[in-house]
Amino acid sequence: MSAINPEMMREPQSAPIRRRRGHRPGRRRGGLLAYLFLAAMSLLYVAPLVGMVVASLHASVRVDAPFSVAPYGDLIQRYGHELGVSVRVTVATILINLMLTIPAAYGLSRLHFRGRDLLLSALTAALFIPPVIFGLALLLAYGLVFKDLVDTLGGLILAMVVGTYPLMLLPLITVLRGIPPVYEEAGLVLGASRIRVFLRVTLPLMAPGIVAGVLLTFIIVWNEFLVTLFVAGTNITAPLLLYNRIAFSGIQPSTAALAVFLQTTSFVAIAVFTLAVNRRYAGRAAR
Amino acid sequence: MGRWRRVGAAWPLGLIAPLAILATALMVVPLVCVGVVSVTEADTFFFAPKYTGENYSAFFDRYGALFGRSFVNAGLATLAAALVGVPFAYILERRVYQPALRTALRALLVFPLFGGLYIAYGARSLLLSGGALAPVLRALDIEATDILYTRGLVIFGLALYTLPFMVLNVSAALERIDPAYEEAAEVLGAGLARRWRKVILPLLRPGIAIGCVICFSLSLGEFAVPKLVGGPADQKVLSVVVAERALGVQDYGLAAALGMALVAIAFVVTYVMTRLSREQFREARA
Repeated sequence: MSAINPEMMREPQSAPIRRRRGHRPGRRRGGLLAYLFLAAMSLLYVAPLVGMVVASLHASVRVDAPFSVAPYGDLIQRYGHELGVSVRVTVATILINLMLTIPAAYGLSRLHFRGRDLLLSALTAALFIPPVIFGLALLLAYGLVFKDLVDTLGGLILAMVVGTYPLMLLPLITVLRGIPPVYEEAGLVLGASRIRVFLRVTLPLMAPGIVAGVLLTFIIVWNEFLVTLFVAGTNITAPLLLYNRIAFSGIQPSTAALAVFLQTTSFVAIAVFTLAVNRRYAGRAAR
Repeated sequence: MGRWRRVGAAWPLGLIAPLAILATALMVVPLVCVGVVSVTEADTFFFAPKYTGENYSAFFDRYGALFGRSFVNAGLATLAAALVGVPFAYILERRVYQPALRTALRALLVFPLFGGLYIAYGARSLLLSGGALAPVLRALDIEATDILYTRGLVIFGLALYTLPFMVLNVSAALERIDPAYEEAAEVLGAGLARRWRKVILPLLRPGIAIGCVICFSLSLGEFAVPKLVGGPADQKVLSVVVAERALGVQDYGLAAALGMALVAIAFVVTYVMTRLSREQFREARA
């Protein structure tokens, strides 16, 4: 699950560079060319989605089938079970990730002990292991060592947790490192217990990191099919079903509709979270 | 923060222990399993395991071409991502001033994050009969299968999938570079080519290097793109063969041996990444 690197977690910066007068694109040679290049690239990135939307809007598999939105109406009826499994796995993974990484991030950034950086590197190494290897390794480990986890929802959820927790841990640590210790020290000096300081001061300040971590975990788990393919057994998730349909049958409107639905929900989640975070934190900084 | 330190060493361990235990159980133990299975004769894991180097000699004998194909695909995809991604990032950072346009362009780059599966499926649904591009292909008298299920489309798909990671890394590097350097070069009369060669590219080198490492490792590990848009020969790449050996014919030994090769590559990549980001950090501070 190495699909995301920590750079993605930077909050979007609206105006990072100084702007100078006379530096407008229209006034430069090659400005038009630059915009054409951007337009071509945009087209390339929208094209797969457009292809899927077009393929999904047919009443049946036949090439000349009439236009229809029925594939979307049938989504829940047709794929309700798999979508349900997906929702359960995604929500459980996010909750377990939060429970594991919030204390760990606190320990790894606020407390000093020997081997801390090494431990952090070791804990985030999972980011660089390809999903195929994760799947194979977990398949073998479940079969040989953790036999109770074979073909269980718990086993699938734990596989998702171990593949995605670095994406929760890293933004939390980034955020914690950016919070000056004076706030917490003030709380302690004024007599609050360490737990109270954590709950009332540190945790609220960690919110942007928590949001980023939840979002990244959601995107990966909601669309993950490869590790799932190895460990799911009978717990088929929506993306795994999608992969199976793509691999073993042709282009069907209902399959395309499921693909569009999964991508759209992921995209909407990103848009909503980004807008909410920008409004809350950029607005506050501007004031 | 003296009060924190006085508590002793047990505190941090208690906070980190649950995560560390989980990572050990479900990351270290499974990787050890892969290593053990890769040197064990099939069907002898449970009782009296017999050890063998057969799986490794088998993949060196029979799968040499597999490694070559996987590396060339990933290398060409990385090259394409760099050739397109670096100018893309530069234009995005230095030439696009409207915040809305910039946000929209960045938003588009989010789609590949959802996975190569959608890129592969998108390519299929565009090109196959009844797809959005089918009339165009017919007008140009091109068979869909001349494009679909070819190695060219696999590499194109990998490049499309990894390009955003290149753009993000180069953008991050550009944000740290003062535009005054480029402007000074321009004012002093350097042309476009010379500005890039003498000023921009040298400053961007660490960022491009990190981007290339990420793109390469993602391309190498990508499963859906070669599996779904490649022809039978193009599907013979590391990631796909590992999955098919394990799940299709249940030859876990060979899958594990090939997997160990991928793990080794992953660790080299991690090491190079760490070195490069340290270098970039040092240069940014200097």
